[in-house]
Amino acid sequence: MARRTALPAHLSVRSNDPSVLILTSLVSGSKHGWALTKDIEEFSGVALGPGTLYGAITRLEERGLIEPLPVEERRRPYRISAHGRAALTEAIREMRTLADTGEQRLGLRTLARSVGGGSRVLGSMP
Amino acid sequence: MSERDRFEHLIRWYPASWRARYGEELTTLLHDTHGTAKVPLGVQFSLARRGSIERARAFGLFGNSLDGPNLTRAGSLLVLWGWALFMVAGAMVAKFGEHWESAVPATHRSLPRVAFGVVQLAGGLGGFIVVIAAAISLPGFLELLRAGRWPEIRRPVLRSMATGVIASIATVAILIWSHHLSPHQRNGGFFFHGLIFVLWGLTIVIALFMATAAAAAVAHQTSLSRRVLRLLGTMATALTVLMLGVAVGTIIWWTVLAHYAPRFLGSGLLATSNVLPLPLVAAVFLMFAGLTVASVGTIRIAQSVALKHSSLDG
Repeated sequence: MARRTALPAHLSVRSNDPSVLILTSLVSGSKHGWALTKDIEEFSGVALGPGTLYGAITRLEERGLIEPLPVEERRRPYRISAHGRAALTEAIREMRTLADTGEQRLGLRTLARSVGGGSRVLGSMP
Repeated sequence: MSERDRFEHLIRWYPASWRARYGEELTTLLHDTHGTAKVPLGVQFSLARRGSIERARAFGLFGNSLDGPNLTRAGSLLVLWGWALFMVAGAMVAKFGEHWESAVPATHRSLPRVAFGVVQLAGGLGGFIVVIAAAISLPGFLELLRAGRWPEIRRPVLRSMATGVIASIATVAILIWSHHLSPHQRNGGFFFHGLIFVLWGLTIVIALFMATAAAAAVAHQTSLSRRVLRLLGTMATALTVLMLGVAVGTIIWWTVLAHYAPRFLGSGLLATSNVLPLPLVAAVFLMFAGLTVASVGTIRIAQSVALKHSSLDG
């Protein structure tokens, strides 16, 4: 079945997709491998292994979604490209659409609104 | 082993081209993460798995990271690997099928004769195509040497030369020895000769695969024009068709022999069944493995043509 999404083939709408996590991390500034791993673990709780990290970096660089910067003490930082930013924006929009649809179908949105704070308050519910 | 060597050893699964680009970064990350501590087995397995995936991608087995010309190159090399498997299988069938005609009744020889003829003709044509492809690629190889890039291909080429010399010496030695044996001793009647024959076969197989690996390493580094790559892609596709001919011819020949001359199939070294002799089973298995690899290569060549057309449309 053909993908209906406008996302590049290697970016998925999974929030734990390594490519999405790397792009999200690089939005806040350029980082090398170690810094990327730590940042991703901090904001998502996902511990990317070195093989997974560099597999994703290879694909992202091949497709021009990230750009390598000059090496600093054997560590090469990467930064997100304009194309990468656009791809991440699209991925996040798709995630939001999926989350909205899920919330709606589960009746969570109405529940959340009734306690007065949008879907984000669900995180603090028991 | 130094710390750096230890981490470099862990990423040996990745292809050389990948290691040249990302190797230092990855070993630095491993050093930053694990320091002098032992790298957990899970991480080691993950690196082996990911490295193998990258190697398969570099081979062109899957993925869409290669552009048109490199996809043609990768596809053609896959066909070459398939051909290497076919050469081993073909040699097994040729040895096993020696003097088969005397075992089949004269009235039933025409079909297996045609089938065996197709096998021989397609095998010969395939070998000719490979030699022509090597000749076409030769100027690119010489250019590579002139550019001082010998160190990049030294290891696989020297390995191939060494195994080639060993196989040649072994061939001469076994030929001289066999000359002093009776036909019965040469054809399975003398166990020690049979054992040495199998070992000799192994040296040939190793030399063949080392030669293919060297050709692939050289081809990956050689700069070839689009026209030459297109020509090589066409030749590789023709080679795949010939392999199909060899496989079909072998199966027809085998089927007829199993019907009319089962005793012939059941005689000889390692042949324990009248219908499914081990050498033929192994040969046909290798043929289908080679055909599968070559078919994937041909699909990649077709994809590279489609890529070129789509880029022209765009």
